[in-house]
Amino acid sequence: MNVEITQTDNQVTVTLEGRLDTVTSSEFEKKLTPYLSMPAVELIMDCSAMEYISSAGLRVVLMAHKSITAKGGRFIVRNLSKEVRSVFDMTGFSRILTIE
Amino acid sequence: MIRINQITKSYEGTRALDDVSLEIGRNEVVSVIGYSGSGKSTLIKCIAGLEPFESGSIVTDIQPRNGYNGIGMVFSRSNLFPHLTILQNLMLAPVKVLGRPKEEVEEEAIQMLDKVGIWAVKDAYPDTLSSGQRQRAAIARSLMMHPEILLLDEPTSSLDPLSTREVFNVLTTLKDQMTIVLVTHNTDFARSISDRIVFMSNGKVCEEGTPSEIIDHPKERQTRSYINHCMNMVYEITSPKYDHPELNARIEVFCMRYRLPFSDTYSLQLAVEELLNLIPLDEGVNLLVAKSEKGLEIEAALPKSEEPYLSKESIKDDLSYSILEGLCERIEEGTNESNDTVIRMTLKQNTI
Repeated sequence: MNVEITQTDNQVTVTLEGRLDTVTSSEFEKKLTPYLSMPAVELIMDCSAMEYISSAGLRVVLMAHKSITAKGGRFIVRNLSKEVRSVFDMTGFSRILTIE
Repeated sequence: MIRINQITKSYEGTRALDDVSLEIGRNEVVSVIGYSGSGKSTLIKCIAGLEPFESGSIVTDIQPRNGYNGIGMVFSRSNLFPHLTILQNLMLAPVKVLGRPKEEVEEEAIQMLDKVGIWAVKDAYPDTLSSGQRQRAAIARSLMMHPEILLLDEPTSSLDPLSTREVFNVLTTLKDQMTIVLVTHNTDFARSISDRIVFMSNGKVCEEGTPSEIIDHPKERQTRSYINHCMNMVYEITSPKYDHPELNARIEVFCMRYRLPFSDTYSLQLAVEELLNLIPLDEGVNLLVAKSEKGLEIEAALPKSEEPYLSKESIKDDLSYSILEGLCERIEEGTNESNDTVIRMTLKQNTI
């Protein structure tokens, strides 16, 4: 899995490529953590190249969503593939998160 | 060439072969597949002359030499002589049956062992070899008699995947050199090596054709059912630090082999990953992934437990379980014939 993070002012874009699963989710969490303490940030998770997500990846996504929104920021998930979207739907994450 | 004409064979009133006719060309490789008890092993024992039959005929174009009928036979168990070294096992029949000089046979046996990749264990006794090495030695022993026809009765049924591959590699080198009739349950093996596959059911030849015709496009309902039944993949997890990428790669290869869509690959990988989050892995888990008429199925065999592994009370990880519930139309726990606990899941269609 590749994670690319870019920051402009108060907007952080996280681009994910590959699989977010039991093996890769801890690495993703490590890369994401420094940006979660920023106040009122808009964090965009671009999933256009994300092939797979499991509960391990969803947990990190949920944790990021909670941290960002607790500090008054916005957490947005973008460009989910049909397959990944169905996992978000199945677990109720589509109702909790802002998905564009 | 083997010409089997309307042979019939019964065991204590039960028809094992019922009017079977089949023609196998010189240097053709034919795999005989079918459920246990379908008559396939009986058929090749009849070809080998090990079983008499009541009616019909089996004709080959082989000229017998020194009382040897020119037909080699390899069984699922290697049946090597345990008190002889591997080299001695190979030399015994050519020297005793064909009366060939010992020195000449020894030289050839060493070359043969080199060919099947077990030269290094020539002086070892069968019990000290791996099952794959023993089976390669059994094939080498048959080849020492220069058979024109080689019959193999489930040669990989007791082997692990690596040993199966070793045997497969040896048999591949024999293609086009002799007529091979292979009885197997391993449809991958049959597909890779055969010119033709024969599916037997209830003592009859139910359907025959190219590997693609039989495995990818079977016409008969019974053949379809059998092929679906055989579409499976096994994976052994020995510790919680299992190789997750390798397991995913195996599932991907399984799905590619049976031309399953990406959504099925995703569903299987996800269901397996979530299941493994929920069950203890310390004592090992045997996983089976299968495509059957019911759909995609996953079985996990674990050490027997008095308490269910997946009861609502015992589930600590709601997210993993909710994904499993979303993916599966059936999640059941039971036991298998070894008295292990088995979790069986059938995936819903088109969830992903």
